[in-house]
Amino acid sequence: MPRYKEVYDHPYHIIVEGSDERELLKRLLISRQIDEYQVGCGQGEDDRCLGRSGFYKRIEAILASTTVDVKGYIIVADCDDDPLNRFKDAAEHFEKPKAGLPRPKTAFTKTTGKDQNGKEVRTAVIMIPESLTDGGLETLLLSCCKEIKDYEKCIDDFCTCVQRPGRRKLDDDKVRLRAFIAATHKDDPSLALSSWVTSNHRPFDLKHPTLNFLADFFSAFKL
Amino acid sequence: MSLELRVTFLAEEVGGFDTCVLARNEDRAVVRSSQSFVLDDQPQAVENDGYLMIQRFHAQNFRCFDSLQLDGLRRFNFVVGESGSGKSALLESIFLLSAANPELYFRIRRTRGFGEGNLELQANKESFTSLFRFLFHNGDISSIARLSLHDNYHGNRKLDIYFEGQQSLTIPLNKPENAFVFLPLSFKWDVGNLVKEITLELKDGSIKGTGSVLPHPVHFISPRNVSSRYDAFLFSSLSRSMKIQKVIEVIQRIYPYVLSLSLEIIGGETLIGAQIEGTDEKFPINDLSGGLNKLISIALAIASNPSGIILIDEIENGFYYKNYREVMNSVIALCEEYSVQLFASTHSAEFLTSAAEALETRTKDFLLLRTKYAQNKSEVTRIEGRWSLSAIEQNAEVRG
Repeated sequence: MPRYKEVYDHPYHIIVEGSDERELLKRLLISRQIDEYQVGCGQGEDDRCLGRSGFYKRIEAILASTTVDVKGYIIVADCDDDPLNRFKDAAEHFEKPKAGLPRPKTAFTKTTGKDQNGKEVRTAVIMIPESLTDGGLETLLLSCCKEIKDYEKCIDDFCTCVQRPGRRKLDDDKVRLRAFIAATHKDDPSLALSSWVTSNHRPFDLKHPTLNFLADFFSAFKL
Repeated sequence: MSLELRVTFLAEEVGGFDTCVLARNEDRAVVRSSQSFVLDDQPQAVENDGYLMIQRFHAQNFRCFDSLQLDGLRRFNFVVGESGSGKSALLESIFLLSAANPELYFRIRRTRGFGEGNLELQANKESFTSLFRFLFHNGDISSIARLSLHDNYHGNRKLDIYFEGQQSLTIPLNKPENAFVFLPLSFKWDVGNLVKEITLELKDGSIKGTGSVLPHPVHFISPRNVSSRYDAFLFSSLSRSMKIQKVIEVIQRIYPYVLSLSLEIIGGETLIGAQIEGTDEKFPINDLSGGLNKLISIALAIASNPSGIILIDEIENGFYYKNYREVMNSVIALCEEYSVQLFASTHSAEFLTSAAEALETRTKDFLLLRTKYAQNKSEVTRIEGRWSLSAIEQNAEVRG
């Protein structure tokens, strides 16, 4: 099959670290009927997401290629184990393309300014999980999975067994989620997170209240 | 110092304008090749970046451009956009500014496939104005078509094209039914402190214009106007000044089967001949690959035009895709060697990727210009080289 080029034809862009966030947010937007957004990550030569170092690459690509006037950019970043610095790093990416994009001073703040063409443009940084605490996408997803209670003891035992000293909260959550996916997908215990998020059998509801802060922010972000 | 030459083909690409005659043959006007040109010494920009570079460009009421302002042009400018969005018009407008010579307009027409034979005009107003109408945006001949640029050598350069308000009535005595009101068309160049106005007038059944002004060293290669005769002239000129070897080396890097190039007289024509590996005779390059011919034209144009500007329409045409990267590397290296600014249009994403890769470490020299035609006019979006590189790297569609 031919490999088509990505066309940027939406006025609002959500820029994420990886394909897992990308697939989750795409489906969240559809589920919550929030339109006008395009979701993607900064990609390297082999099409793999570049993680948090690729935010500005995606912004530059949008600036170079958009077929419509872009009104807003939202960066979605993991808090990892250093929420404040992760926010600061993410916000800096709005300045790297030198396109006049406003740099948000705090997370979850809508910042409006004029781009280099004098057009109004809005930016924001959303940190995952919601409350600027350690963690990331897996932390968020774990709190959405109702079924996890059925496997809680089993997963706890496994996590205790493979526990490593000094492991970050996010890595801990990654181990828990991986164990949960293996437990609930007997046909494919090694199912990739992005596939799990997009599968019809994902054990969480896109309308789960834990995800409301994302949907609410996207809805309220538009100019 | 200026040198007056009356050898027509010498002035294929640069030159002042003396007389252009479209002689009428009975009811029809036929272009005669009685042109002469004044070739001034080519300017050698020594200030700023050491080479002549167009920095700003403006077009008003010209072709598909209602009003266009382009600032911050770079050393290597690539033009992309849909067919009919104004890519060629942009290159042509820069070319038309390059010499005080309405003949350039007729040359541009030929690159678009008009008037490939003798130009024929009927003796009426419509026939005359139709020749020039589409120089004007939406054919609006009541307003001035204006082109201007700023370069780092001459400063400002401007061209106004307009039909003069004063009308003259021509009544052929032998065929009075062909009487028509004739609107003289003026081309007025303003280069620094030098102003030259050339008015095309109908006289004695011919269209005549007179004038000359400092030429701008600009070379235009369109998909239709590769000229064997002109390439042979450039080849000879470089060969005589012992500068042809670099061109040959560039050709051999991409087409290693070309063992040598030289001028040969074939069928009475002076053409470039190539010695091909495995053969024991020379072939006119016209009989060889289109890509080879194109690369020779480009290399000769750059090497013959130091401190100048080269305009290449549909640069990828004729080249095999596997050669794109090496072609682009060679063109950029030649532009560097001869201090030439490049404007090239392309439809090819692969070629654009090759250009981006070749300029990866010098994004400040790279600019993408994307043309778009909407609401009856063309617009050009200026896109920073670094943004373009990011987009290309991420497989985004930058061509619009």
